[in-house]
Amino acid sequence: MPEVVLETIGLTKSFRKRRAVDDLSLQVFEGDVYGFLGPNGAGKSTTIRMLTALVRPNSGTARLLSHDVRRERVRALQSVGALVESPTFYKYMSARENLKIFSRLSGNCEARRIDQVLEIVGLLDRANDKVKTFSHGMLQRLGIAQALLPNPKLVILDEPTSGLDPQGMKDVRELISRLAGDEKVTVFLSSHLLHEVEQVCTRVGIINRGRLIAEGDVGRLLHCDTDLVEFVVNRVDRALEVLDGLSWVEVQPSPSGRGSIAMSIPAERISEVNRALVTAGVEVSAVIPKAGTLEDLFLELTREAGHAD
Amino acid sequence: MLIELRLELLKVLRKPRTYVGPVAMGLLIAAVLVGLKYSHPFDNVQKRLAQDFIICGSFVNAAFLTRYLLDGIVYMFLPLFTCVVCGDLIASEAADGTLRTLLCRPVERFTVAASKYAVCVAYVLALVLGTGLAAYLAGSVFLGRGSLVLHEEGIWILPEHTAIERLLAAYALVAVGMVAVGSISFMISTFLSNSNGAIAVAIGVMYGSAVIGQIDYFAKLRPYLLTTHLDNWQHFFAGALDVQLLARSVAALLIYSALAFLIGIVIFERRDILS
Repeated sequence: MPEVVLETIGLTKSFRKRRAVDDLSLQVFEGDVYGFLGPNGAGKSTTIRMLTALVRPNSGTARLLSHDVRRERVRALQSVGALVESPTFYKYMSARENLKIFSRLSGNCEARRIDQVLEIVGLLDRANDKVKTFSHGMLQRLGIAQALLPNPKLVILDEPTSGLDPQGMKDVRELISRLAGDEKVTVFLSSHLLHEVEQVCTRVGIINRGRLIAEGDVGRLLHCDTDLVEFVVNRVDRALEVLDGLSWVEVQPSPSGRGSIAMSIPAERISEVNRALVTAGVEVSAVIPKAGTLEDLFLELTREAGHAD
Repeated sequence: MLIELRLELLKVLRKPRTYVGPVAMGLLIAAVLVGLKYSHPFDNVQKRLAQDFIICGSFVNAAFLTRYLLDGIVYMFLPLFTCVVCGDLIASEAADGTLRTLLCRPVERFTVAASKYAVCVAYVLALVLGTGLAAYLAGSVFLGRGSLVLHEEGIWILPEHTAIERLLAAYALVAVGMVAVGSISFMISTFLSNSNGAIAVAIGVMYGSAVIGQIDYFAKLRPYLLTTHLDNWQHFFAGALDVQLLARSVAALLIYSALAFLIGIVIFERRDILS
């Protein structure tokens, strides 16, 4: 069983009457790239602020690397790198000077580590430029460099690709994959960009209105919905008439548009549907099993949570 | 703690606004110096006194300049520049968002706040004592040195060494007073995310205290007002010293500073960083 590196138990935070995070319990294991998903205002940033001891929870516990964040703040944050919301630096100082300040506050960080992290994020050639001359993308990369300074076992990144151009987003995603793969860093990543999470994360937690509504392996969560199949046919109207006669077939909106029909059917009955269509004179040119996307799952879960409320 | 202190010092030294105070004080000293040197404000008094006394040198000298300067800076420039730096230390980091990056690091909040406060105290002491020293040195070069002549309930002539002692003591009391002003500013900056707000509120507290002190209805409050004790620097130039009164004022100003620091620390420790 891998070690739990990040854990929250019943974490709750209210701002006046509004409950931002409600009884949140989750676990992140060593080696995970954990995607913390939720729409804007779902409570992602408040959770991250509680994890990094910036905000005091009303109740519940947050633990990083087995240390209680409130009671053992310094030890809990010792091997943790964090980028909370948009990156901020001392504008009147250079990138190197900024990192020097944060490295000295990160315990026993070696001087050459600054150059290493600048190289990792591709800013070594701008190390001596004042931060006020940096673009948003460069600041974002410097923020990640800052988070990597203490050779962390766990990196907490809050919307790390926010405001980046497509190339910048791709670079950050590759960097996260590299960190998890080559450097064995556990990553806790909050985002509302579903394709981003789908591409880089191994596990996800979905939060809505402060509550965790789903958690698990990305693959397992997505495969809950694998009985969706798309048939590409020459006569959609006729095919729909045929399917009307099969009570166990549930026709769904087709993701591909004209010329195809999507339906929920058990995998072992695909051939039965195919035979019925062909017998009725409908030509079937392709049968495509459709894996659910994280987007489908996310929308479904957040919609369900909305109805439940 | 030493590391945090060095980092805070580095940050303050790299901020342009840190130098506004010293530069402004330098310009003010130069302006007063020029004014005193070329306007000859005591020529008539000096001529009249010369009929009965033998006068060597000039009334307008380094000691006079250093004493004269205090009138102009204690209630206006020093509180302003003190608040500009001390009120900015935490509030500007909260406004810029650097506070959250800072507090994500494995460092105690107390250490961060205490280092900032220590830098604030060091800055205030350097500003006040530096201003006094610069005024005396500039006065020595351009006006010459000598006794300090005072017109307080008669004419008092303090020999040069006594004048220097009194000036040192007066600037030290003003420095303690400014530390109290800076501490209030620091305290306010721990719960505001706007450095201008912290500066304005701290200066408002000081001027409010001065106004309340002038109203007879609030006479009972006077012993507890910041400005009552800050005003007492003038006793150093009023002939015989009331040591008890001055000691009480120093103690009161130190209590003000300690309370503001403690309240600031408690607020900072408990504050949610939402900026």
